[in-house]
Amino acid sequence: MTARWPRLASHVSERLRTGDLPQVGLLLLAALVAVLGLVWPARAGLPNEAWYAVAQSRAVLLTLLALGYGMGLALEGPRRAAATAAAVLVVAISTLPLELVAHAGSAPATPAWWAWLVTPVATAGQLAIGGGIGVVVRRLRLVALAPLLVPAWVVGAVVADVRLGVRLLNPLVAALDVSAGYLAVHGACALLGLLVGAWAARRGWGAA
Amino acid sequence: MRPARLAVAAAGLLLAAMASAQAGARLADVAIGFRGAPVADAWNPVRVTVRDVGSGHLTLVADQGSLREGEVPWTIVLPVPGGAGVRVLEADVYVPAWRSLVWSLEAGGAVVASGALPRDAADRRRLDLVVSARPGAVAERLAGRVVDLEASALPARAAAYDGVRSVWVDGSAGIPSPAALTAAAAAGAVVVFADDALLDATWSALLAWGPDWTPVAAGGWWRGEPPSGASLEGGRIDLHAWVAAFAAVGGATPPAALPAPALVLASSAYVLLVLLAWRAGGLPGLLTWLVLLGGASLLAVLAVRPPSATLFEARALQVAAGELAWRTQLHDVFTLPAAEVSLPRVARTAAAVAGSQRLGALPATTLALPRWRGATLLEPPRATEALLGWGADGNPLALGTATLTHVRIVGGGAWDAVAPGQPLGEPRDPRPLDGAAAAFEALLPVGSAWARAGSDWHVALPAGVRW
Repeated sequence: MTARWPRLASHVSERLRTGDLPQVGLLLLAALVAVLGLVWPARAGLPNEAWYAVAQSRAVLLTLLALGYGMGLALEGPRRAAATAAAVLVVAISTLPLELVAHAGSAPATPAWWAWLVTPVATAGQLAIGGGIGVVVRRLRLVALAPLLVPAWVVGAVVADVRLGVRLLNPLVAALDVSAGYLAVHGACALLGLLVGAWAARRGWGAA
Repeated sequence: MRPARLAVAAAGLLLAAMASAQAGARLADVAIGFRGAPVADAWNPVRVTVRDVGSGHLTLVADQGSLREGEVPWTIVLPVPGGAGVRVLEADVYVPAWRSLVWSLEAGGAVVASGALPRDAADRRRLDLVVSARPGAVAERLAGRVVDLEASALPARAAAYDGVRSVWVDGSAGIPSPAALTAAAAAGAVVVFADDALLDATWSALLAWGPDWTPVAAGGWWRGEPPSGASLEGGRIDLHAWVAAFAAVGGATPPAALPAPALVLASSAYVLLVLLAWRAGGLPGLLTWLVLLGGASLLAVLAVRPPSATLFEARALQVAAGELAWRTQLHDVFTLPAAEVSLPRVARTAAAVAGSQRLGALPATTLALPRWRGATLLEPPRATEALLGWGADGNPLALGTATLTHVRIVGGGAWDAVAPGQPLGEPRDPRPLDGAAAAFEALLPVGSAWARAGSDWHVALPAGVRW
């Protein structure tokens, strides 16, 4: 038991060093720095609205990242899948200081702790949702459509929330305001994904 | 009909008449402005009279909005003490130019009186108050908004006269108290004593001693040829314009943002360090990442976050003639997040903003402001001791204990500072002013002195300025 955490840390670290994840992580962080630089007020006296753009860009990019890597989790072995999921969480959390600097400058009414709370929970939930979508498309033999389904899910989540008048799935709204429903839905998805993953790992499912 | 039946019938009629008379007596009367004539965009006296009604509160709601802006409500709540008998409450409230103005008096959980003022009653013209048994003659001379009052109806509060242009007294309807007339003059009104005024010994002695014009703060007492409405309007100091010009100077400003290039550079350095920590690998790499995360977050908060989400600044404008001054306190507020901003003092806004005033309670003034928005609030004007006056040598003089700086005479010389009890040296040429301060100085009569004490500005009017 005591040796499990250093081993997991080693796997996560390995995942962050090799493969495509560090490149995707760099791309994501660089995109956020670019957004921050573009929307930051050019001179003193102008209202600082940077946080709104940074928070929503971050939410959408992290949703795409988590859903995309989530869809591939079922193809990996249990150990590597856990390392990938944890590495995606590390990438997501790494973006928090960029949002925090925009939050500090804009001083919105939304509390700063909300980003810290929602980021890991929402990312874990979206990894689970992505995993579920991945399993379904493979069962239906629609793997070719997988790249389209990630943005389609985001658009569908936005449209569904707007049409139903709720705030459960829309990352754009959840980025800007405290939403217990969004947190609960993604927390439940994360928990379900964790349980299904553990069960699948015990049954020996997954590749290699 | 028997006499007994007649007596019963008569008693019944008498009781019915008494009941009808009691039902006809109103539980409450509310007068906004002098005798119910409010002046829009000014502080007005409010008089509430209640009869045998429990404690409650009077609520006035003025909609300052327009077709373009929509509804912009300004709510005023006054606690009204009740009880057996007749009780009278007097207070001063700011009445903005309204699209609709409704009021209701609630006591014991029920509305005991209510009313509304029509939109076309929102008149910004200042009042001429007449304390005379013959008000018609004055009304004919002035052709303005003339309200005749009893001498006892004049309050001794400067704020009540914010919307008053002149007060006419001839003694035929009683002599107002010196405190009331001083308050009126201090607030900028011209107190006109008729030549043949039937004044009491105190006033007669006071006015006989001085010249025709006795300046008192922003107004004064006049005992010469009665002025006409045109001369009152044409020459009068426009305190509202002065306050507007003063409000435009400085104020609470949003915090300066970190320069964008520095921010991008620091953010890029953070991203680079995060990648290096990932590359380092293993538990040390992850621990380094955690330290970076915490450090960058802390740095982001410390370097960028403004000291407070809501900024407050207070400053005052004083206008003096002699030893008495008219003073109004300004509060500049600026909020970064959308918020309700509160002040412990009763104040009105310089521009139309949704808010509320709660007299006798804390917070006294509350504004609902959108994010990154500022507002200027003004307390009701009051009379106070002058801090800037004129010395015997004709130079500005510090009357209080504070040293005044940036001393200037409009159209004349300037000094760096004037200390109490210290003679001024030779004046120097005045330095050019920035836009807002120059606009303020342009409104002052030539020969006025003005100076600063911190962020407060003091004006001393020259003796020649009448109204």
